[in-house]
Amino acid sequence: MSGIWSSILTASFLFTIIRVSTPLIFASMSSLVARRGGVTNITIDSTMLMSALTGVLVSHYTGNLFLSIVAGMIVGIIMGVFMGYFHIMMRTNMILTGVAINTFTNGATVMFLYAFTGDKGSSSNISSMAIPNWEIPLIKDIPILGDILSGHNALTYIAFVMVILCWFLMYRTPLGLRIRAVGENDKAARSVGESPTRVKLTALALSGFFASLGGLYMSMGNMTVFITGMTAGRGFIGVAADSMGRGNPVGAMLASLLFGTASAVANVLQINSFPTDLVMAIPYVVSILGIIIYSAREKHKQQRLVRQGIAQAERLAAGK
Amino acid sequence: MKKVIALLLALVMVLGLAACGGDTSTTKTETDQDTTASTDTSETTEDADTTDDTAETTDETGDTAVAVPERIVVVLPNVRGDGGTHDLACRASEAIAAESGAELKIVELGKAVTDAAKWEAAMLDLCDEGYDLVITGGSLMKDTIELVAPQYPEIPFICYDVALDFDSFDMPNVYSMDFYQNEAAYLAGVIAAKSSTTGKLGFIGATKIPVIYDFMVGFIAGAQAVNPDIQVATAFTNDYNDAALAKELSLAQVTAGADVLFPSCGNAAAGTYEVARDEGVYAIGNDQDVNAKYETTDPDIAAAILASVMKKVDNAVTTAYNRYLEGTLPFGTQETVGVATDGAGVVKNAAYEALPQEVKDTVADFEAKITSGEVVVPTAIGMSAEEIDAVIASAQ
Repeated sequence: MSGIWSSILTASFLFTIIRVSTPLIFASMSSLVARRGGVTNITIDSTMLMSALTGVLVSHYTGNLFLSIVAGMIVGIIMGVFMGYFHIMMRTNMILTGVAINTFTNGATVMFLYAFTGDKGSSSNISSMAIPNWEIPLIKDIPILGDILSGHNALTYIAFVMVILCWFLMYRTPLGLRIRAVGENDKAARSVGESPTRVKLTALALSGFFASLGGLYMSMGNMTVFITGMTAGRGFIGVAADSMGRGNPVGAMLASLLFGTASAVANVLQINSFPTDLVMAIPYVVSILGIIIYSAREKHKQQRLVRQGIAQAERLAAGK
Repeated sequence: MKKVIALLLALVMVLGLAACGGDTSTTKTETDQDTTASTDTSETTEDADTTDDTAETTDETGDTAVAVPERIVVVLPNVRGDGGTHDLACRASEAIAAESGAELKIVELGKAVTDAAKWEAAMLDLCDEGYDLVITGGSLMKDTIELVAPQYPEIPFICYDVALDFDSFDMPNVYSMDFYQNEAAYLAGVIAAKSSTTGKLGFIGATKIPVIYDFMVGFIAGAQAVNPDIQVATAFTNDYNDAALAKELSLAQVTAGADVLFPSCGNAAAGTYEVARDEGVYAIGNDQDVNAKYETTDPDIAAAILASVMKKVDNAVTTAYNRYLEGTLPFGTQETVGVATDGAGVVKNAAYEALPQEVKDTVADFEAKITSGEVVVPTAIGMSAEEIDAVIASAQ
């Protein structure tokens, strides 16, 4: 028992939470942009996988870190537009398209990995580059805070910057307004001359962009190798975090950190020989609880709105 | 335009399915033609025992007891790229085919979770295609082999890394071998405990299946043989690909004081090796010669890996093939290979040679004891859940 507390009550544990949460934050931003635009993007996980592979392969063949990151982002955007093309322009079913793309990606990543490295399991027989870790100049000298906040991967800091950017995009730019409007009611948006198709495609491209950063973090930040299926469902956890965050970037980030905390705690419990089967369920139990709380609050909010509406109608009727 | 899109979508689906499922559905058309092709191998199993042992004549012009197989099929459960058993078997088969000029087909049956239902049908189809030799293996294939092999007594099967039930099923055409992975893990435990300064080790398994437990039990037993007070933190990723999780678990073990880590979690082990590189601790490679694997691509990882232990599936498949050509392969039986016959154990690579002499002496000592039977390594095969928990608890 003391082993658990001595593991949890440390700066490095908080450091771990941030590290574990990073891909979830990217995935939740990815989900958020798409969902506010009216599309539930279930291809985030496979977009991450594609970008993770692209980054590793391009860095191996060009030896240029910047190029590999850009290539990863471009592939992510293409994946988003790919989804958008079928779902929005060709009006295919959102879930079926998502499943088809996920199935395609599972095979395609293995195929490309095999074609370029001769191995179907991992890219460890080619050398690839890593995105550096950053020491934050002033903060790193502060005793405890420095241990928690400094020395993370560059993409971890970018993740938090992206949360702010995402919030700014959604609430302070015309594009954000359009995305939200189309997501709420695309007929209304169309009636004022807005093209829902274009806005939704843009939202999905942005979604792919955020997801690609999560993928690059997996294979070039946190790890320095691509492994088949290495995202292991983190994209879906991101969708759950976005739902829990109620479509607000800061809320989604907090939900991602909650998931990160749950899995970090699960890891510590596991190596202190708690029953693994129970411990492994913790992140998922947390996500189910989160969604229950979220929907209960939503229902409560709706009921309140209905009550307010009735009261207002009564007042109006009485006034007359 | 719509048609183009429909075609594209169809292509997407087909690509996805093809990559996941392997190419097992193409065989129905030629089932009848090929039965003659394999009849000439049908006698080989019967007079296999009477032929005298010639030396290792593997070339096709030598006095081999049976015809050199012209068409070989390797059937894998799951897909290639496990970074271990099946990759080694494929590599050995490719070498065999390259040397003998045989036509080689490697069939991946697809994921056990989603595709296992069609494995049997796929296997039947493949047998109908008239291959001269079937190489297959893995514990997941047990039922499929036991059902299909008796129906094709004329086709020889070489099975690796699986324990078949020869008492209940009549399979005179099947040779099967499995490995004492617990012995390999035992030696890993010996090296780890010898090299640890903190007296704490870490084991990272994938799923909780007997084979993985066998690695764990062997590892703990080996470590305890050197240092009875050793502590082994155990963790499971429940996934063979989630390298990031393996990395987190390894880091948590290092934080708790472990300084030698031993993964048994397939490709996810890459996470553990990266922790060894980044945190200044050591790992012991598993499933293949990990030192050689990282030597050129990531020398820092290679330097952090004390030694590699593995089931030498590649050697075992090659040996079985050569014995088959000589006519000395004992069909209809199960063989288990371990440290005694160099079927499983420490890879004697440069990294191993660079270990301190005392460590190597201890390993050699235990190898001799296992070979002589003086040390019997405990196995998780057949252990109850309580017994396995007791093993874990004994090293806390």
